[in-house]
Amino acid sequence: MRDVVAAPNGTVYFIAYDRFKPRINSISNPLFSSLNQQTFIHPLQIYPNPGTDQFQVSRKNNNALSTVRILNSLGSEVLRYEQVKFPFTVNSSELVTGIYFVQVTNDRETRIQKWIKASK
Amino acid sequence: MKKYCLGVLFLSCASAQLPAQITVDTIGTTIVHIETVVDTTHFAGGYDSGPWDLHWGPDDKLWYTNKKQINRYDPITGINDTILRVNSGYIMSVATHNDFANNPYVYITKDTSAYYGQGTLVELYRYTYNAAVDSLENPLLILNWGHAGEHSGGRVMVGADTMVYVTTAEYYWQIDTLFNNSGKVLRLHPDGSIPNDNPRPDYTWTWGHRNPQGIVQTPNGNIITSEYGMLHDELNVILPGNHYGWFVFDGVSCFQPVDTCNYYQTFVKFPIDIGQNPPSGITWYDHPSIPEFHGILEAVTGNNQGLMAYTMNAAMDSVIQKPVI
Repeated sequence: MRDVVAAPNGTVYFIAYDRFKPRINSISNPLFSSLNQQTFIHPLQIYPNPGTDQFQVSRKNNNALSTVRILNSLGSEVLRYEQVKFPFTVNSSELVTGIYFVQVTNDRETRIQKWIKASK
Repeated sequence: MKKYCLGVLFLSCASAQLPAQITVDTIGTTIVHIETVVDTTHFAGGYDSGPWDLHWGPDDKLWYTNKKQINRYDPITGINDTILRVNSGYIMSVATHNDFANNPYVYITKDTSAYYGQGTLVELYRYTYNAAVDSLENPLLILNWGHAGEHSGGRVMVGADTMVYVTTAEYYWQIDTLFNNSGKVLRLHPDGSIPNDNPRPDYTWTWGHRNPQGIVQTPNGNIITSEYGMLHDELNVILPGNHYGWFVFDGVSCFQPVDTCNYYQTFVKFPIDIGQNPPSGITWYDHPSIPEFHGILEAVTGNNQGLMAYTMNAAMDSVIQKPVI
């Protein structure tokens, strides 16, 4: 590699394979904008984490009806639940092992946290 | 602590593939997308081709050198264009004045021949940006130095003090004299003149460097260089008037007669990090989106191609977490 630079939005650009197959690549966090918009005072409680076929999401001192979205590592929605009350159990039996994000949103707040599905 | 395998990522670390050449991976606990934004079709190929320098431009585009050209990549539209093309030589580094609206100056270093050639010169030019035609014009040759192949130095930066800083490689162990530009960090006014507060009446800011190819200024004003050593590669905090050891010390190892070592030991400024991963460009990273990168990011060339992330102390003058392979 020959050089690296950081853009103001946090994306890193670097020169790869500078001598024979040069290219410029970027590195960015695709979930940063979502992660940066956390407005819940208290974090979600996710248990177990890592988990397998199901896991429970609960919130402290807040019973407002919410939307729960499960996002895969690409940021794509794989599960969605509306009008949820907490504690809430997510059926994750159909998900492949890997890293997921649990996003909880209501009229006023949103929070996203990581959950890992482990192999049995 | 942190050596991320981005150099070989495309071979072994990929965990998922998306269209448009996006790879998904994790750095520490952070999920990242890695995307080829300018691919090989833009470059001629071959040993001495391809980009040498990346610079975030005042137009919020990625400026990159490309042999005889300076190109720009627009991350919004994905369009690449050309802002400068020269008839000969190999453009190495590019930097813009940090008050570009009032001082539309662009500084480039250019090898007079092929980059990996022998016995050629690296030249520092100042160009002026013409917004009416969106191109660079009026080249002003400011200075030059000799180099042998990749042993070149050649990174240019405009500091917060609006001075231009240039790294140069030593050239066959020359005796240092006034206006010998080799093996230095040079400092000059934007118009190419010598600042009155340089430590001596030439461009010299620091000396005793072997092959510094990276330079960055941290948010608190420290200037740090990465230096391609003989056996020991270095990060140095650049303080004016200091000798950084070469050609007596390589890292903290002295390879001259003991009396010479003892004499130089008394005044040499030693590195803040010593490794064996030949470094080229470096940058500062403190954006919250990838916390694992906080500190100095270093592009490693040679056999251990990759990115290194050095965590720095609060004063930004010492490495507190050292990368490992």
